[in-house]
Amino acid sequence: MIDRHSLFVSAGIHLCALILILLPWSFTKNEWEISKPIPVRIVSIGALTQSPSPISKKEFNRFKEITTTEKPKSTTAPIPEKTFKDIKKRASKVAVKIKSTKQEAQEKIPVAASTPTAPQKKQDMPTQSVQTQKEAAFQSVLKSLQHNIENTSINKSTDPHAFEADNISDHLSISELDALRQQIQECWYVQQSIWEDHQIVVEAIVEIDPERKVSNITIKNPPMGFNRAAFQAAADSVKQALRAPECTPLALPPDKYHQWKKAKFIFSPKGVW
Amino acid sequence: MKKKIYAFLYLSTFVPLFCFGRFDVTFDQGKLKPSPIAILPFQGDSNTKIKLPEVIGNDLQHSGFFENISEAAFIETGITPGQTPRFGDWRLIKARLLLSGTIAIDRNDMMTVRFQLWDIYSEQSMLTGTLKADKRYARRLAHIIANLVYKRITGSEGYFDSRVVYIAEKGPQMHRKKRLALMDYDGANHQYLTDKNVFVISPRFSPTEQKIIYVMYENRNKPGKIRLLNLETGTDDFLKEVSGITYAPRFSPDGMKVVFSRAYGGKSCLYLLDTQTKELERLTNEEAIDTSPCFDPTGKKIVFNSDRGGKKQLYIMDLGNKNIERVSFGGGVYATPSWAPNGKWIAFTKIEKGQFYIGIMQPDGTHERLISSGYLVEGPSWAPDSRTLCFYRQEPWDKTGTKGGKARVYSVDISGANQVEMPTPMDATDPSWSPPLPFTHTKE
Repeated sequence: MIDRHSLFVSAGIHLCALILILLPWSFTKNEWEISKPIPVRIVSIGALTQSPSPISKKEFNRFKEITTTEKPKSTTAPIPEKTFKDIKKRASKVAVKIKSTKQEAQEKIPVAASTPTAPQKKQDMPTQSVQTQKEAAFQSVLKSLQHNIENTSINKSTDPHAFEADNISDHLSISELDALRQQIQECWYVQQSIWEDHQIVVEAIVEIDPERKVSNITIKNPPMGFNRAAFQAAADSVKQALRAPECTPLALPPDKYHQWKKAKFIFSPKGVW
Repeated sequence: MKKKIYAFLYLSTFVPLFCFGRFDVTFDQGKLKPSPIAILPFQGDSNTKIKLPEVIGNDLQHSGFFENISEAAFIETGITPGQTPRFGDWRLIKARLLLSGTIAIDRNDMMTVRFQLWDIYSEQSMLTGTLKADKRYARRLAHIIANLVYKRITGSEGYFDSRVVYIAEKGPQMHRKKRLALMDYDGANHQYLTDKNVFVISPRFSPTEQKIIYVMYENRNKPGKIRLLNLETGTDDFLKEVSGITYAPRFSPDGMKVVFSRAYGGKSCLYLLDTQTKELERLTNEEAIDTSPCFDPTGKKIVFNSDRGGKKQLYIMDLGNKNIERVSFGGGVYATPSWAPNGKWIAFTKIEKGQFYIGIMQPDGTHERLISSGYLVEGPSWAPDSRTLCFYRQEPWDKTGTKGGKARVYSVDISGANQVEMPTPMDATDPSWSPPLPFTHTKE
């Protein structure tokens, strides 16, 4: 026979642990990517959706010009099939759960008799919710594409929360972090006159696609009054390092995409001289 | 039911959480390597005697921060400013930077140069510009473009549009002929400024103007004369005749005063000369050898070397209250100090255990480091970027004094790296680097 008292105590401890873990999660801006990784590719927007394109024609044409140039074939190792199936399975389970929860919620909404369109709404709910999901997912693709077009100048801070990255580096092992560090440090050409004279630290939020290529770099602005020319030069050297062919793809574990897709890199060559 | 509760509690504790996906990594080491740059032939270049891309490439490579990619490796050619290059082609040959340009010369011989600098990896334009000048100044236009590229990549002002004055020497050790010579920092446009029949020493450029001050001895029996040569007007004026042996004159930053050493009565003291009023003020009067004075960039302090403490060491004098403070405390002797244009460093010659060194230290005497050594290396002078120095290196003479003694001018980075010989037609000593040459240009 199980002691009821100890059962309640155990349940209480587990519940507290769960709350402590989940509570900070609820305040983060992160969203769990439930759809499979979306390859960055040019598609004709009009063929897939009737919604107005968020990108202007000029930007779209320019982006098309940039991305339709021949790129070297990707040598990235594909995500292992087993792992990919696991992710897909889990994702689909949760998607179904959310979908069914929404359906239930919609069924409970009282429908006014005076609105003749109410029954239609009720029937269209499931398809609309799927369509809304698709559209939202596609909009996020377009946003990421748009982000690639925009200039990554240090003057622009596109996202006010761009630098609210969690300072957590314990989701990758030490050897994985070291491998990444070694790789990028080989590509990072340091100019002593910039870094030593001005004591510069460059912080960059780097977005990485599933093929482990850097898709976007946002550099944090330096403090006011900082030598702008020196910082610009330092930031350029960082961007070159991250986009160097020798450092593409990045030495990151393919099966941990969700853990490294957005990273904060800090460049401060104090140990060089 | 209980099993379900247990299972839920167990799983909720041990199932790993997904989704955070952000981590931070710090990089504290990089590669001290020059950035590979591809410089395309400028369209319209065939109409000029001077190949601008070649001059620009040599300038950038001289700095040690760039490495020119051979034109033979280029896959794509014919790009002009405004045209986007095929970035993949340039990535294949590992070019990080690409410079393209065009040259046009009108019927009035006005040359217009347009250029554009690309970041190949980021696929972005970094710099564009247009320069116009008489085609006689083609070489200077190339230097100016190199300065602009240098500044864009390193954040520091370039030094390529500048000159070096030095003492050109010829003859055996005991009968040396010395003339004042001037050239572009890369050895181009070499010319002599004095006749070979006069004896000159200690040339020094003004830190802000194209003026040279030096000491001339017409013959051994007459005292030396401090002379001021204005390169922009061509005038060569006599400043002051001072009895005794005068040497090592240096301009103040505003060009209104000159500080120099005068050996008289068994000692050597520092003097300040007003170039306008010709008034002379004695700064030191110790029973010591005070020499090689040099102003700081503010004009309020002077660094010099003195043996007042027993051995030659470096001292700084505040011209306001005339306080003197010793700043060097190392072994050996210190000489020929030179204050950097940005005020952060003092370069010097050091002699210890029979070996010569060129070194730098901060004005408070800290962070001393030696950046070159040799049988005889001496006389550091700063380039306008406050990172590059020139000095001269001399080989030993043979016993007869007729062979050997080869002397050449070198430039070096303050890290000690990138030591490069500056080409001169004969033996060269006592160099002095000019400030940037003045210019005006039109930018897009």
